[in-house]
Amino acid sequence: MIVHRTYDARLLVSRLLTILSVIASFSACQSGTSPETVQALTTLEQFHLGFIDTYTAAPGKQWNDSAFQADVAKGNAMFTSATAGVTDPTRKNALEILHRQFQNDYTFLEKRAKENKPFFSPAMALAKKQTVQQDYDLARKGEQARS
Amino acid sequence: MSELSKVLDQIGSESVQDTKNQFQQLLVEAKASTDPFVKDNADKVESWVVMLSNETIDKEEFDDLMSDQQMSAEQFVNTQAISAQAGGKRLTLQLMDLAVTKIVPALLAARQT
Repeated sequence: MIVHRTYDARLLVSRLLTILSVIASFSACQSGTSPETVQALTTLEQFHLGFIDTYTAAPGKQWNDSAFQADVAKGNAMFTSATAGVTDPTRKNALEILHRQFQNDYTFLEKRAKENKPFFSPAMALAKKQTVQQDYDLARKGEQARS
Repeated sequence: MSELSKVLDQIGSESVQDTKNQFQQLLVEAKASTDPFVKDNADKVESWVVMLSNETIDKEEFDDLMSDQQMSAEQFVNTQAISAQAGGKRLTLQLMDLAVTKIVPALLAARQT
């Protein structure tokens, strides 16, 4: 009888531990601020704002298409790497929106370069940087709201 | 009279009077919002319409800025609770949609005549 009770108690504890570990792993995947994502957002923001500065018109600045293509490839790789393995739909969506914003920016520059109007105008770059910065702030806010 | 009112006055066409009123009403409502994003969005849309009218930016640049802002609005909605999403969408996406599809084409058409 005593043996049976000990066995039942162990079984119960074992089952409880299994349930708790499943809940813990589920919570870690689905909610809570991800420090990796917060770090990725900071890195991507610095790159993105720097990209806009690099491709803003200034006296004497010349268009360098190979440097531009290299920067586009670097940016795309950074966004792809940040999104890889992200399963939470809201977090993934936030990163994908930022990637689309970057794609929108370089597509605009490509189009303008073909029309012999390369670079963002200073007025546009200023407005664009405010919007891009706001987009990263919102993504960070969404991420921090999970904690 | 605000700069925007002067810009909108350039649109004389009777057919867009209702749209102009709706646009201005949405702007007033959005600027009174307690949400900083909704308010900021309204300020930006107003400012870019004025910049386009003053030729500080061209139509392609205006469209690109609106496209950027639309993605920011998606990001904003992505951070909102489901219950708050409908109100946020109306005061951001609808305002931008009116600017892009009705107000700016009417403004550019009025400038050409």
